[in-house]
Amino acid sequence: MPNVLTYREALTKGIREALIDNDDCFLMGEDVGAYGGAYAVSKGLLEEFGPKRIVDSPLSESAIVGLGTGSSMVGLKPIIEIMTINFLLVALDQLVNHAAKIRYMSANQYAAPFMVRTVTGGGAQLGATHSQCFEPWLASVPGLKVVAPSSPYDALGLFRSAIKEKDPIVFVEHILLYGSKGIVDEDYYEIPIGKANVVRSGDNLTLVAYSKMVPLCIEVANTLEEQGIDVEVIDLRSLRPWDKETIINSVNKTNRLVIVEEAWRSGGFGAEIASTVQEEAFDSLDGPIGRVGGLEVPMPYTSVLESQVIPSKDRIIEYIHQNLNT
Amino acid sequence: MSDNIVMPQMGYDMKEGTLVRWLVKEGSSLKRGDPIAEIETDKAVVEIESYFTGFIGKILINEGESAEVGSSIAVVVKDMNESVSDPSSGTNTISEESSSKVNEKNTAKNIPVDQPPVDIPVVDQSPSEKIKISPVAEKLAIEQGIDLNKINGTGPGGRITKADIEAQVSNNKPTEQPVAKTPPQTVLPGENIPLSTTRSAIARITAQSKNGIPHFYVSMSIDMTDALVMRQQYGKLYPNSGITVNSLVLMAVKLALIDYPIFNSSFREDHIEVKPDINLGIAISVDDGLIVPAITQAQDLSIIEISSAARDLAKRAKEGKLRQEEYSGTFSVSNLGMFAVDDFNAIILPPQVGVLAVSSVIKRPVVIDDKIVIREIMNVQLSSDHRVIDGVDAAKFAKQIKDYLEMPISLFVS
Repeated sequence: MPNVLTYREALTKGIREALIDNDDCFLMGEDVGAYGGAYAVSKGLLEEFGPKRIVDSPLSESAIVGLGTGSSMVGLKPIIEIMTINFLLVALDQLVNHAAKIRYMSANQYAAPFMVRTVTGGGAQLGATHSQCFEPWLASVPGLKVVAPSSPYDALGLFRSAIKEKDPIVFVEHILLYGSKGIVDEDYYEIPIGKANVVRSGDNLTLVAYSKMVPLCIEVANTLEEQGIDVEVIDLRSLRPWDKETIINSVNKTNRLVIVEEAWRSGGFGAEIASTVQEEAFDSLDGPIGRVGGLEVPMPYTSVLESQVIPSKDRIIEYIHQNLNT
Repeated sequence: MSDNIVMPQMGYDMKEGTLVRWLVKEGSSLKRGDPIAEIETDKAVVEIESYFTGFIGKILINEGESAEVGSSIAVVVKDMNESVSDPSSGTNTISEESSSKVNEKNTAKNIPVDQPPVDIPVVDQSPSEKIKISPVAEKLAIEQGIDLNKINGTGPGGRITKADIEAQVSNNKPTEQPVAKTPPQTVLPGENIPLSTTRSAIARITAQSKNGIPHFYVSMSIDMTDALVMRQQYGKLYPNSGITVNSLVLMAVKLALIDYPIFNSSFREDHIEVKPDINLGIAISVDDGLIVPAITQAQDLSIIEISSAARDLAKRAKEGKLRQEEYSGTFSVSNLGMFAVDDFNAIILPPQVGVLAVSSVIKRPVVIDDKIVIREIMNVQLSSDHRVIDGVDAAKFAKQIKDYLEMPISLFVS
């Protein structure tokens, strides 16, 4: 039976299931308890599960991620909420130098199977230090996994797979997606980590995106269809590991590739995809691989400028026309 | 420096081959292993691959022409500059001598080393007229043998795109000569049937073999009960593995050939040539007869790999898409198991020295520990060339195959 849920409700459902299934599972983060979470994902969970399972932490991301690493090493199943990915920067040492390395440096004696949930993206007028996308940085670290769902259905399916992971995984939610609605199966399902999704099929050009850029790319494809350009849209869903097979199969069919990302293009994930595709599917390309990304400036506060920095439907369409003529 | 591509010998009695289609053109860049042409023998149309890396300097025979085995059909040069031969010179071939002269000339002129490499498959182009073409369009053009000089690119800056090549291909379609294929014939009483090329090749080879090779035969009954159980268990564990009885036999034969390499040899005038690789021939029935392509370098393959290689070989044999080296079997297996055959013997395919005839697996009463029990029995018959192999060797070899099949774990662990 399908059921319409918001992205937020799908995540709450996933967290509730994990807490019910496993007594060792707990949620910890800033304002996750009494306040119900900065984005209200954990609303009502404190009342249902009590303060030992829903833990309001001090304002120290480094301490919380460290606690996630340590407690998961000895058998607990922490879900660590970091209010935004911008704040995760102060916990990078814990995440990259400790959590991601434990299995390797202990010669497989220990692992840190816990989840960091965090929030990426701009567009909510939160200014230069609260509107960034750092998931491509994290996706370059061996030992970490990174997923970024674009819909309520994927959010729940990926959450269920992520909670079973045997190593640290960063679950990246988007600030502007929490209220988006979508159909979610009532029957239990999972979405495997590392598997992309062809959300719209087409023959003329492949558009790859993840998170908030996916619904935008679908709008782009619908408009381009009216102009006679048949676009295939692929939702990456996982950034590490990422599904090059699905993308290469698509490029073998369309012979054209454009990647859309909200993050800055320099050293971004689109660069990684473009490089891999030209290495492994060079003979399938009928033109240069294109990338649309956030403009390389600190995010302006004013909404007039902010909307210019983040890739928009018009900017992507204009870029695709240009790409098809280069 | 230049190398000659010669008409390959793709069967032991092949004298000449017809060039059906060039897959490259003069000026094409080439890597070792790239397909270069389709050659028709009296058995099949086969794609031949390049042994050389470089550029096609000159093509010496046209599509539709025949050439003797061993004669040159094209010249490969190492450096594109060598192949820019003077079209007015009137010579048809580039000899070692003339190409080295070109080299000297180039050296004398002191051509700068940083000259951009010419990577476009067109010979008579000066670097300034370099053709702009997208990677996928270039690949398609080479596959389809399209002359890029005849195409006007419609892409950005005049780039030739995939669409341009596809348009050219559909223009070319009607003039393209399809490879002749004889339809399956119905046989009428009192009719004289003309011999197809395959039929006359089979007639010639089998008669030569049976007249020239002193065949003798050793039969053995093999208890396949355990092997079938193991195959079933394996199938449950790996549902897509698709291991057939034939692949069990092929694996057992391969292991026995490793133990008895003399069966993997050829009789020559004054010596016996033991082959370095095991190329397992499989008799495959095709529309107008029988061919025996081989799983090459089978010595390194596991049961799964042999199984999928056999499937792939059968599929491509029926599509007429075998590669040249796949006609180089060193020992063959002929399986009529699917036709309720009790027993048969097979004719050796020269220059091999043996062939194993495999009959059906049939439930039979057998005596084990003085009791009559029902077991799955398969008869095999080994044909051997007595010039190379004696009765005792043949018996030992057949027994080895039997032992492997009756102790089937050996097939799965190696």
